[in-house]
Amino acid sequence: MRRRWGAAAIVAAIVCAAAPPLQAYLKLGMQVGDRLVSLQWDRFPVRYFVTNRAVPGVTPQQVQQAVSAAFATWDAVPSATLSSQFAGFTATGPLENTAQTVLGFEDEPSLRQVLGATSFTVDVTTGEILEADVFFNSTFQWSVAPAGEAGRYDLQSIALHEIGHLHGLGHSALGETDLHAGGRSVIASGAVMFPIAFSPGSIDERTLRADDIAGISDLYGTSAFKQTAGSIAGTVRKNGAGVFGAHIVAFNLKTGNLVGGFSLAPDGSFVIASLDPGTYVLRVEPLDDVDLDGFFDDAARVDVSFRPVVYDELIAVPRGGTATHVDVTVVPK
Amino acid sequence: MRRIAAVALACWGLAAVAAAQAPAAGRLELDAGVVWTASNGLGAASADLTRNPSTGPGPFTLFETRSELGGAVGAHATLGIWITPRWSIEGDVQFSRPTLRTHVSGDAEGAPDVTATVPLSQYLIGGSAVFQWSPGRRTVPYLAAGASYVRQLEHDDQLLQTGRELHVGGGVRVWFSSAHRIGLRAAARVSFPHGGISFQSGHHPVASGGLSVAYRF
Repeated sequence: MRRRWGAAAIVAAIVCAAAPPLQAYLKLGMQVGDRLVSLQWDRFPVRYFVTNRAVPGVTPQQVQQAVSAAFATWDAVPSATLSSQFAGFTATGPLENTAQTVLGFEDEPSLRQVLGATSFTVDVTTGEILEADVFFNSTFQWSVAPAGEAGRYDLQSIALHEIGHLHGLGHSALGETDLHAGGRSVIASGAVMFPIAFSPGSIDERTLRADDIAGISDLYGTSAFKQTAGSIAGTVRKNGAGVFGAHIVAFNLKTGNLVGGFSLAPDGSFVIASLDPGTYVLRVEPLDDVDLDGFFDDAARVDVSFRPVVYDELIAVPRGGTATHVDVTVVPK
Repeated sequence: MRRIAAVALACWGLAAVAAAQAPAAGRLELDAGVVWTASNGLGAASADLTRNPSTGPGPFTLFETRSELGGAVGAHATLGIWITPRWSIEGDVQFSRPTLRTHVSGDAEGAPDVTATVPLSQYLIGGSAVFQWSPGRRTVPYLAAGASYVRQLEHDDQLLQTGRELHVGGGVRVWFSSAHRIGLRAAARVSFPHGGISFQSGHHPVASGGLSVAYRF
């Protein structure tokens, strides 16, 4: 199945200049000298303001409740050390240039495919996120109803995705989409950080998945988690050469968890970190061949011309260690 | 567990009646030989994505798996202490190299079916209570029940899984002489594993059998 982001697809995009992906999930990163550093917060709690602006059906107080619930969901990941604090309402919109972290609605009718977006101010010498802003596009219909509301996007779900970006996570490719007359829509996903939102009315994306938890734990993992988590390292090759941009999915046979990563080097090497120790099936597939820049700045380098394959060895991820020499060969389409 | 206890109590009663029939042999017995363990189904698991509610009910399955721990031949050694002519307590060590196999099928994007494998090193360290009938004869049947600690190392010892198992079984000793010094021992056992490598909530009983040389001293 080809997965293509069509013109009518609703994309929860990230606005972040010069943010190449780091290993897996993706994490957002930036070039500092000759090295790539991940974008992440160094100081907690993350103090955020909510714009005092209502949209039909959603009051500012309800925005704050939905946003706080989304922050709390990330904060509650037991294997990560995150905390956040609501600092108050503000008349400032999230797209205005301030030194505060602001989340709220903006009317952006020209962004017909964007439900929400996140922008950052970072220390370019360290990658530390100094502040970040999230806007929700009031061009769309929104809901904060506990069980969702037909025809309206669930604010808490979209906030959960954008706050993942706010914490430094990029997009996950764990999902399947479908091409139809109106463009692409998502059939299913394995991560809140998948770039296309579920249909209006759904509240299924209020819950983090294993891929999201692995990603955030890789960035902000507790010391205990880092001592016990394992990883898989290997290469993806085609005709003897490394494959750049292959999507690698690790499936834990015991827990059923799915965690994705990418080969992000010219030699096709990859690392999927922050995995529970256990036995894994590894599956390699090409990334969707449209809207690759939703995942990579350098989309032209991404190789999508190979067939999905399941690696013919089971992978034992050790406690606190790395399963190495996982060399997957794919065949051209 | 309740059933095992009932068998043991019944055997104890038999032992008291027949204690005087035992030949004058040593109290220790050392066995060494081979053990065969049957393949063990570890269940099915599917790699599921959360489906967009507007596209239908239930999860979206990316692919499906079915796993088993393959049958294997290994080695074992047992040291037993005869407490009475009918009753002994044994310590047992087993080693085998089964292969863990997972068949992956039904890929949503058409990846070919494949059976992914990884070799294991499996150690069992345990103990059993053993009751034998007719200890004065050269062919002596017995029953045994006990428990073992299971240690499984995957892929060149990279991953350790541990667990335990309860087992019941029986067999026969065939002594080469009436002195009961040297003989052959054939055994069959059913184990009920808990922990170790398992990919579903429940465990299946596992059959095994062994053949060893017995030496009593």
